[in-house]
Amino acid sequence: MTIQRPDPLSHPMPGPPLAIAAEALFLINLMLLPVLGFVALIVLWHKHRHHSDPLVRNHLQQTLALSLWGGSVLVGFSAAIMLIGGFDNPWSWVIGVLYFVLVHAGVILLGFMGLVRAMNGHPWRVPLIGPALP
Amino acid sequence: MQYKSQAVAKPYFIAAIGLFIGQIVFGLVMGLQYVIGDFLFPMLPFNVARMVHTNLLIVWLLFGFMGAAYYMVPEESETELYSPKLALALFWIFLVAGAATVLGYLFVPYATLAEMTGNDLLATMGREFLEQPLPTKLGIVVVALAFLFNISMTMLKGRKTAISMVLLLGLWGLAIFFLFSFYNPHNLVKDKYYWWWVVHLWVEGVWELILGALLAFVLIKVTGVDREVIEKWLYVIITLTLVTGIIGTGHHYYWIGAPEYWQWWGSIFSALEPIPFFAMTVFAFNMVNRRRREHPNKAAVLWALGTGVMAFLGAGVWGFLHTLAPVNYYTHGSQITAAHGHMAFYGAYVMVVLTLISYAMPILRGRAANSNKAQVVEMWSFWLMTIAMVFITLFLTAAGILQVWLQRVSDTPMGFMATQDQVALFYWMREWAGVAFFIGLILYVISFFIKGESKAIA
Repeated sequence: MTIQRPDPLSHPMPGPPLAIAAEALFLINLMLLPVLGFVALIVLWHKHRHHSDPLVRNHLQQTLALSLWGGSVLVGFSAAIMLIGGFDNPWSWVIGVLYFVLVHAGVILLGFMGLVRAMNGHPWRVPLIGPALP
Repeated sequence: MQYKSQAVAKPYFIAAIGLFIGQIVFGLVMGLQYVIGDFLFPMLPFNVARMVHTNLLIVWLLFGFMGAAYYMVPEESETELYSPKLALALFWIFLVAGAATVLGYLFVPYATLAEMTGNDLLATMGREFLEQPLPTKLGIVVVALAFLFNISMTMLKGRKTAISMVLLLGLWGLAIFFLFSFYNPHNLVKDKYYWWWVVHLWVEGVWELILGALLAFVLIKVTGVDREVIEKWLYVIITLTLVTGIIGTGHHYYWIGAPEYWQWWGSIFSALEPIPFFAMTVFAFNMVNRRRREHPNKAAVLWALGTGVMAFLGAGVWGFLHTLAPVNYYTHGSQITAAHGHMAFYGAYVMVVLTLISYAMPILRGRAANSNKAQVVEMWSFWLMTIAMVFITLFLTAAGILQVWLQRVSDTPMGFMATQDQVALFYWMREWAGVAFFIGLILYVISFFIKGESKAIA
């Protein structure tokens, strides 16, 4: 099946809206509405995971995988740093806050790349942890 | 270049880079004074070095903005500049006034300088970033008005584009909000309240419009994407900027004696301030991703992409880090603020001016792009300066977190100076990162002098 896409040079967002929505929800979860954005992303993935457009399936898969991995690494290690170091230890805060800010910003930047790829109608694979492209 | 009068941008860019070097030298001196308290004392006290460091930053960015406007507006308006002679005259006036002011800071005690320059007639000195003597402030207003006259007249006689209108709005805003530097009420709360109308409404308001316009101009040129697409993005970005940034001023009003409701307004709106920077990053990557041509000036494309990412990190992420009132209660005025300030200014404004210089300078020198060799050196300078700035920010953040803990959170809080001793290790690391930044800057300057086979005019 050939899918017609708008002209990328004259259309503000030539990519498929569902792929863009998946990437947007991923970023909303990180930046605006934590948990709620993730729940909405799971609902979107569940509803459209068998979508006929491979680009939609691709972005749904990647965002879900990155949410699960990114969330675990972000929350898991931050909690470990604080629990092992102790809340009364200033160095726990120095390392914990720096770790959280850096990893959080890093995951947002991966989301940026995904969103830009979705907007332009391109596939995207999150480096290392993203499911392989078909 | 398409219009002869665009050439007036060149001296502005050269002066901007010269003053940038001065700013970094004074930054390095201050960095050492943090750990070797009497370094260069009494010849160059810390407060004077700091004043020169921050004032040079503002002045060189203004030179950069003006140069960028003189380069962009004729091309956008499709007509020669209204008066190139006026532009050149203003350049020399601004440069001489700026140099005289810095020499005044360095060689005359500040109180004497205030006395000599009529501060008793209208007291405007003694406030952070607005330390300039009265004649300098008046000179800035005159230069700004004459500059705006020149730019506005050029636009009136030529084509009006969304990009040039946004640029003009930003530049007029810059001039208008500077007028609040003349208002210096005795009431300290009111003084601080309106002081932020210059400082905050510049960097988190009208300067962002200038940033958006400069980025949009370069992106049109280097990607070939339709102007309509880029202008739609620009509208979204400036709307987000003004909606979040104006009321976001409230994040400066938490603890100065302003009403308590600012803790809510400031927290909510400034928490949204990363969004325009986020949009700017998506915008830059989006346009480069769908470009219709490979522009020979790869260094300019790199600077444009870097502006988006670093502005988002510095202004957006590091701004959010300490902007909510309950967090700011502890972090206010600590090294976390310094970390944010460094990366935000570098990412948003230094990088966008360097983007424009990187794009325009080769054209002003008669070629579309510099030789590959020169561009490779320039790209090295990009990475060196940018990575160094990331480390400066990280070390200052670490120092800030430790400072907040030892000074404000601990059950047995330490005094300010005792705390400074405890975070000295981070100051040393910051200083070395600063040295790396300076090497990057020197490489940037060297890249202008590297010969080789340059690309023909596009």
